[in-house]
Amino acid sequence: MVQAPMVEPSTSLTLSDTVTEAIEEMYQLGWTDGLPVVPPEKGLVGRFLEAAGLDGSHQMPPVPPLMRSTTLEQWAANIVMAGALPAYVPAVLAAMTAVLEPDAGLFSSQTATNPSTPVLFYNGPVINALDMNGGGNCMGPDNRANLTIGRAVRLILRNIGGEKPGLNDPSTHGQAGKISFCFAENEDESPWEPWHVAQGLQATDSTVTALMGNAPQSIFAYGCTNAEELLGYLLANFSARGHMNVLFDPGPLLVLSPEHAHILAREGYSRSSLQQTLFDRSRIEIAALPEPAIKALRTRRVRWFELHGDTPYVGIADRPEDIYVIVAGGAGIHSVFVSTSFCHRPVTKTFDLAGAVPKLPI
Amino acid sequence: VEAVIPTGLSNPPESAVAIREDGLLERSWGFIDTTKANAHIFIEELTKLVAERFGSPSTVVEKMRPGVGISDGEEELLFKNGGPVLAVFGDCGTSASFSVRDAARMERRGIPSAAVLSSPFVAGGHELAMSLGVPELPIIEIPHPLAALSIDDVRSRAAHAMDVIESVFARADVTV
Repeated sequence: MVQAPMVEPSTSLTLSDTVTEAIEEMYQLGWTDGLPVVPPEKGLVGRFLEAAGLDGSHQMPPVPPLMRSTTLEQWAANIVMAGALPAYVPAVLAAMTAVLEPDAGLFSSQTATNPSTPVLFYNGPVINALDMNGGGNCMGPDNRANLTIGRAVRLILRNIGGEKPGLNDPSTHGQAGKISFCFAENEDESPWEPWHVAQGLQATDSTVTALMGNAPQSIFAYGCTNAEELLGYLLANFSARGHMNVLFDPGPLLVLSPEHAHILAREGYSRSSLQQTLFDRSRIEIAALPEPAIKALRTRRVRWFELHGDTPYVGIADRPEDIYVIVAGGAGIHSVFVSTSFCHRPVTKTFDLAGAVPKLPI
Repeated sequence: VEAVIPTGLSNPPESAVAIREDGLLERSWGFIDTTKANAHIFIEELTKLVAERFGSPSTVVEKMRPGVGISDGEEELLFKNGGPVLAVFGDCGTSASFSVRDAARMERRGIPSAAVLSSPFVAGGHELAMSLGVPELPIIEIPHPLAALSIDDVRSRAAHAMDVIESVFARADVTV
């Protein structure tokens, strides 16, 4: 066995003093997601860490798939590059603690051909503290916190984890969410308790929840004026062939617009009774699938068959509680269905806005 | 300006690939079926060729699904089996990455192993093998796609790959 020579590797390099030239150099170095990044100037990275009260020499856990050795300073460099503010650092680190939980399924998501990526949503005081958006365009443009927190996580996964298109990221199409997929729940306009409270946490806790989601499917429920009509639209999407939750056993994320949530709540639906109804009535006919998919179902949805016997259909999730319902978005008759893959459950983490280092899984 | 390098440090290669000893090909071969469509046909053809060429039996381990690694029990079974191990095949992201992980795991146990991957996944497979400390893990490249091929075409692909498979296990001098 031959050991590689031990050479103390450099942790910094010199970029041009001219910002536009530095941006081009970073493209050449392969540090970007295709969009320009802010140069991670050592002093600037230090100020981010200082503002959060963090020590840059802290050794960080390996990030799949390449499991490189890194320090917190290198993670912070990616947060700077994403265009984030120092105040966002704890929210980014908390998101990383969530996606690194084994139940989040990060290795598989990172190396998949399907467009899976961490979907991050926030609850609690962090939403107002960082001016995050859970309203109109919460999954779209304009909100700096949403976009740069999500992008910082993605850059860490790319630059440190090594999930690069053409190498260990072989996604067939990818999706825009692989640049950033991060938003807040619209707690103020939800008829139900916030997600994190439903998980047993306090309303005063700041939390991030991560699950591996695919490209969002907008459900345009035109003309639906009552719960039954709206449920018909939701169930038609859930019962379709081809989405990830036919074969993957975590359930889907359903992001209801406030209008849709209120239609359902007005007719007596709670979050849990809605989960039960969606579970009971979403049906994917097994006989309609090709033979290899039927064979694959038997091993990939093994829990379904254990719980429900030899049914002629599979549901969209194995259990009602595996249909994850939150409320977000602005005015409009659109809700969003995000199918999921690889994760075993949504992982929710609380964190301290003041910036204490979250407990990271090793 | 002095900039922090945001990419981390690659893990240095830390282990050699297992020694390819004389007589290896005559031992019982191990196959890891990723359960991707047509993988079992591919393996069926390889086991037939292994029996014809070397008179060797084969043991096939069928995983629960492509995106998981082999279990400890399956690793032990393949280890005790003693012959070369092939992960067959990776023709999507997770089936490829877990094939590399499985093959690297067996190499680290001292069992000569290889992963069979379709072309689009080979470059990533090599990078992953490097990060797993087995930079010279053999990766057998086969054309993509495989899922929609006829049975005869799958068998033909397997037969075509056999010479390369034999060569990566036949060398007695492969070390890092």
